[in-house]
Amino acid sequence: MFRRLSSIAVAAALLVAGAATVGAQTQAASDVDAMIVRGERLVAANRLDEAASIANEALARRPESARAHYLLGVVHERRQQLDAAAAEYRAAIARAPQLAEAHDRLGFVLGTQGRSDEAIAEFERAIAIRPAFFDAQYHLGATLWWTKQVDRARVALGRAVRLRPAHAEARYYLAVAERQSGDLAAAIRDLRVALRYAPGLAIAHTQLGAALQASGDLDGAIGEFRRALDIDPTLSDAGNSLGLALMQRGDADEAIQTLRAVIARYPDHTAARLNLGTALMQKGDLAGATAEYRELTRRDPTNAEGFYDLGLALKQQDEFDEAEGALRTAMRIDTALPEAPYTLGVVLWQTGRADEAAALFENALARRPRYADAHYMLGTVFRQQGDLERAVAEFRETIRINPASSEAHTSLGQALQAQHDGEGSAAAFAEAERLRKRKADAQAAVFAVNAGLERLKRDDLAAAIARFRDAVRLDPDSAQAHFQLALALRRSGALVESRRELQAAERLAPHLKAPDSQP
Amino acid sequence: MSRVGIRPTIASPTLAVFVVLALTAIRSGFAFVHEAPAALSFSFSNVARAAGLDRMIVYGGADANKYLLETTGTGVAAIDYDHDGWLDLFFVNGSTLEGFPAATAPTNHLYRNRRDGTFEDVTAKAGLAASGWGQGACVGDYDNDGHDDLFVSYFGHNRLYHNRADGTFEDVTRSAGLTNAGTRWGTGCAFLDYDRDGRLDLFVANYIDLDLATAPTPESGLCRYKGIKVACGPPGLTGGRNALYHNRGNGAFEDVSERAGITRAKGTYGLGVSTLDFDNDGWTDLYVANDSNPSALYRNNRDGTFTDVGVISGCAYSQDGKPQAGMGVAIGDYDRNGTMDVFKTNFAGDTSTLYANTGDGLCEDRTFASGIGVNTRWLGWGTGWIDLDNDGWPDLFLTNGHVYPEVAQLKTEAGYKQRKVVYLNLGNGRFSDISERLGEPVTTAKAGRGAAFVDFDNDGHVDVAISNVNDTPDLFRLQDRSGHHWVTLALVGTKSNRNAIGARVRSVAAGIAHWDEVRGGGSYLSQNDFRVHFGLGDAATIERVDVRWPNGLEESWDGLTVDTFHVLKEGSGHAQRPSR
Repeated sequence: MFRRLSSIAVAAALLVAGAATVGAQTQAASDVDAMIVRGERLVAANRLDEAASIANEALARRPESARAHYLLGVVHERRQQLDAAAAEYRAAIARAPQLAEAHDRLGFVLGTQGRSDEAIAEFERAIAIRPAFFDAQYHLGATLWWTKQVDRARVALGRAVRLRPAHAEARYYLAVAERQSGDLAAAIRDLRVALRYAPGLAIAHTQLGAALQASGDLDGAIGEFRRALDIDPTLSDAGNSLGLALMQRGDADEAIQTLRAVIARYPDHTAARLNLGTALMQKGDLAGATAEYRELTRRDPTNAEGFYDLGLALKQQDEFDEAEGALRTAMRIDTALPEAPYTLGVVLWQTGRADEAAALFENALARRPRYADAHYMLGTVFRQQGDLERAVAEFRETIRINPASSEAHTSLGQALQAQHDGEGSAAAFAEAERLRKRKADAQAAVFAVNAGLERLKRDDLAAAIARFRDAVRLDPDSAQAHFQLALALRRSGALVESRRELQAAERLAPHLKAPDSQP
Repeated sequence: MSRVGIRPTIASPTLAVFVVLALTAIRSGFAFVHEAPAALSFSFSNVARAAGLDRMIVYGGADANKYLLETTGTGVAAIDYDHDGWLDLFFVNGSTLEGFPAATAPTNHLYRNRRDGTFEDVTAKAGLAASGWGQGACVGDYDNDGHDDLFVSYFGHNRLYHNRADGTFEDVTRSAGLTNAGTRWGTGCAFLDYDRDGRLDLFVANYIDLDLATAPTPESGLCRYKGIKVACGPPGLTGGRNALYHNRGNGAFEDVSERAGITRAKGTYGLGVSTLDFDNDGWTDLYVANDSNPSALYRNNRDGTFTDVGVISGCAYSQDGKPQAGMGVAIGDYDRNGTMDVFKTNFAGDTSTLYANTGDGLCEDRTFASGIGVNTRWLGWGTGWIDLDNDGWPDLFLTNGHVYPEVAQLKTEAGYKQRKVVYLNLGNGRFSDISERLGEPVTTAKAGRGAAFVDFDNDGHVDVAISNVNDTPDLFRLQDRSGHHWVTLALVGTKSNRNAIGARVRSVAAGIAHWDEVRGGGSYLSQNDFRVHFGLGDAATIERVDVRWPNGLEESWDGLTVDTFHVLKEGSGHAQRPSR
């Protein structure tokens, strides 16, 4: 990140620093100042050796010159001589504590060296000296983001963007922070603004794609990922994200092609290879997926997720011994990974090794106490073993964590029934049935929306509205049902109801907007 | 079935989200049951072509399907229509969306058993040359005239054929009051005498209230399987409601579905149906394998009504509480504890399900403990308990084939056409998959659907007649060189329904008791041989056979010879002390 920021800001900071210190100077000093101005120009022209000579000469003439130390610091920084740069910036600050630019550049160098806390402190000092100092605000925000202090980053980057609204990169980082703090609407807005100022900023397209994907606009996301790759085909993250989005849209073949392209360029791109494996699994190409996971674990024998996925793929091919081995390896590599003992537990349970399975589910729960699936499976094993009391406790815990688990309610009902708790079991079965019906109704609503759209194609507006109403009745939480009903009602002239449905749709899926055309 | 693990790499640090598969998607396990190294004493041979079972079974598009209607295939019924003691075979036929010119439409086929290992197609002669979207078939002598009648379910309108006893049938659907008001999708069916009045009533499962005008098609993009656009449903489509028709005794039936509580089942999308006496109270119950829903166990309340106790008895869901895509059902006492256990075939990516009947009104899911959890790749349909080597332990036979022909596009999917799966009952509660050891024709891939288990050549070994989609039928003839003994009992009701559907039989040989029943329906949309077959192992004598007839009469026969067929006529045995 610091490398990205450095090229943007150093030259500008240099000139500002120069301008800030022009003032009360003696005649002798003015010669030194003239030298420094010349040195600054040489730095800007990347003539670093000449600039260094001038800075050293200026310091020989006037060792107390903060500007000369600062100039030398910039030269060192450009040469990636970070320790030397930091020393010169500190020397400048010692001589001119109010030199905000020196604090900013020192912060930058410290950040580049991984000393983020010290960097942040320097940026804050620069801002305290000059609150409207864009570079310091920007660098502070970006550093806070980098150190995962997303909320603070958002504040600093917001100030930076207010200082320079057209600064695309600052706005980009602001949007990233907004997305990470869950404010998708703000992130999408700021990324669009950033791209207006810098249409070629490929990473902003990638980020916009991610934000759109998270907001449910899969097609929009795919478009942005594609734009990012058009600008910079080497952007592995855009390629990986495009592959994911295509997979989610059901375009498995193109997803596989896209992810293969990323891997061809970056064979060690772990995420892309894992995703490729998942895409192949989705396509039923278990052998292909297994090959990818094997390659991944060969390249990176410490990759727990790779072994975990390898275990899954092998198990689905009934390669049980190898699957168990892979899952045990995943467990060993990542002792915090709860999915590995959980899945291994399921394998063992399904093959009649219930006692071992129970221990593994408990292992998974030690790793993640609120792991609903592990509680559920542990309860299932307890019930199978006749330990109804513990089974009931595990099913209740599953439901506490995930109240929508119809199977947990069903199993609870069965366990309570075995305990002769007629009332409790009846209530559990009833809740299971209610949840099951809700799921079935949601699926039926999807079909009803589709049927309505088919009716629209045949210009049968009344029938379409009837089907959309069915969909809303079946699944009041279906944004598409409300949205399509709104559009159809608008066509029929029922504008008040249409608006109401549109509002319902937008509440459920903010990216859904009615076309501007009027009926 | 699974949640996709996504691994975004933008905006580092990367957060990896791990794949967590739904349990139903990760069914599989260790082959912890070690196969016996000894060679198998039995084998199958596919004698269909040589036997003359050579007519195509047409069902939907061969390479791609638009609606689920094109995927479900048809059933097979074993019926001794000419009452000669040799089982004939009736194969239901389907259609295509495009349809056929009137004279060329595929029809159902009745093959008469010539008693020499071959069959004669007597469809037209018998008056059974009906076409349409045929589904299942079941057999029952509903008028107790000594000649088996035939019911055929359809997407559209079901048909009841009365056996005229002269080698021909008459379509009596209308006069029997079995016409539908509109299109229904009848699937599995079974005759049963649920009120013990001595007359066979009729149960018909209904799959989906499918409206081809509104059902989404693959082009909608709403329905995908492993990324491939496929026919939609059944989730999202309105489920059908099962039907029970009471036999009035005058050749007509009355729809008592509502009154009898049949329509109040917890689940829907019914496919395979079998009768059974789950609670061993002498009143016939029903099990329905539901697709994508909890399956139904209709408990006979002995007052003309049923209650679906599938969920509360633990016979409806998988062991981890999930609904499964049930297809076929087999009833049998695999553990020889005197209770009728339930085996159900399910969708690919899931195991079949073995519910052990604990005898106290509950099912205990023993799928994984029994070793059946080793197979998740196959999509099962017709299934039956069949004692392959007559050792007295019922084994399992499964017919498989994927729903979607489009899976042929997938690289390593098990395929549209799939091999059979055969599990050998090891006699200790566990099973061993012996499919590969059996070799062909078990390992030959077909798009199998219905299967009827029937000893067509009366050799004491139960054979399998299989309906394949867009293919000719198979007839797997079982040969066994074990030398184990057997007995086959044909029950004839006099006061009870003549087919004795609902009768419970216990044979005791060498001190070992075996139980079975005469059942209506079974497997997938099929009707099995009514005759009760027992493998007896090395037992050369049968001490006793007890029968509890559907009307409650209990009587016994002593000293029946082995390795032969016996006709047990109600009232011809000697009285026994009532048991249970």
